[in-house]
Amino acid sequence: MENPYLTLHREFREAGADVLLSSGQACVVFGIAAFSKDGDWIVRENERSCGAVLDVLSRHEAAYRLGAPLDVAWLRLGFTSHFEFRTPDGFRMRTDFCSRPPRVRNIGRMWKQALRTQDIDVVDVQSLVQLKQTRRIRDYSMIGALAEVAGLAGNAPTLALNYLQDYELLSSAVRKWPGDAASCRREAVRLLLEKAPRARVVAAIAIEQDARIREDQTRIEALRGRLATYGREFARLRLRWMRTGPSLMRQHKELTVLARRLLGGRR
Amino acid sequence: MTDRQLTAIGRRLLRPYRIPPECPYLSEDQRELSTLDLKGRSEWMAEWLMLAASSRRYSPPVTPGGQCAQLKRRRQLPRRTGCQKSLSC
Repeated sequence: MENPYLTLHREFREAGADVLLSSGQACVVFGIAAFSKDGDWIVRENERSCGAVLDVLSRHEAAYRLGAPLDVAWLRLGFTSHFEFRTPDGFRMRTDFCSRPPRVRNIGRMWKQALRTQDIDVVDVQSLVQLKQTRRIRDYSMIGALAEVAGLAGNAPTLALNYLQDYELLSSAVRKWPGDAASCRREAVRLLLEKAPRARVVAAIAIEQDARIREDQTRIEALRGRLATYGREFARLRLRWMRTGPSLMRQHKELTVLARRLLGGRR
Repeated sequence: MTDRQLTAIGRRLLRPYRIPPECPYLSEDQRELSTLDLKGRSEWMAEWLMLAASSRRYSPPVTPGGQCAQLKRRRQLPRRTGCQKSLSC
């Protein structure tokens, strides 16, 4: 039996969508997470890709969860779209889409560097590390793991020196690549080069994690503030959909009207 | 890091590889998962989802007795380590 999120990915691709598997499922594909409860995709910011994704989800009788309509007008403002459906096997599939993942600084490079095989299209390791810098502390274990297997073990000093989350391994990386370490701007690396006490290096790593967590928290709070009225209206809409069971395309039209009124994003 | 290096790193992780034994972040589950090819990793994930779905599907009503039965049933499922659980995404 196949991971249903990979099956769904192929359906998106066959329908003509340009999408990249990201976040938790990308970690599963890279072999560093055993499980992910949902599927996150980065979708190309064009009507063809959005339309193809909606067509596939329609066939699965998916429903919108709280988020923006899957449309270029809102994707380009940084909004995300969320859906769910059940497979005949009883899996509850939750699918999330964005086109501008937070913290990924160069979207063009991300698309260029995407890994494409016969079965999947997945975001590159560096972009994955950046988008995993969330407010959830457990994501920093994933970042550390990626930095170890791809950076330290994979001979990529930039990844290792910038993203390892552990004193011992970061010390190994600094010893292995002293030249790269000297030009690295990370505080923990600088302290290791100065042979500072272990406690100061550990504290620097923790402070850095906390700064990333607070940045993401601030971003989410700002988004919540922007979405407050929209969220309430969406809840009403969703209750009505639960009673009347409209198709996904109908839901999309109604959500688009709501989003135009409350989120902006007119073409 | 050049674009070519970045691509090579990603491609290497898509093939079976061994997680270094000293890695502090990952459990035995991930060590096993990393040695599988893409097809094997996909089947692994499907098995997890199936376990999660069956656990929900056969959950008894949430009553004091029901909760107890539910916990007992969960204990019969293959156990993963706590470390792995915390590393799911």
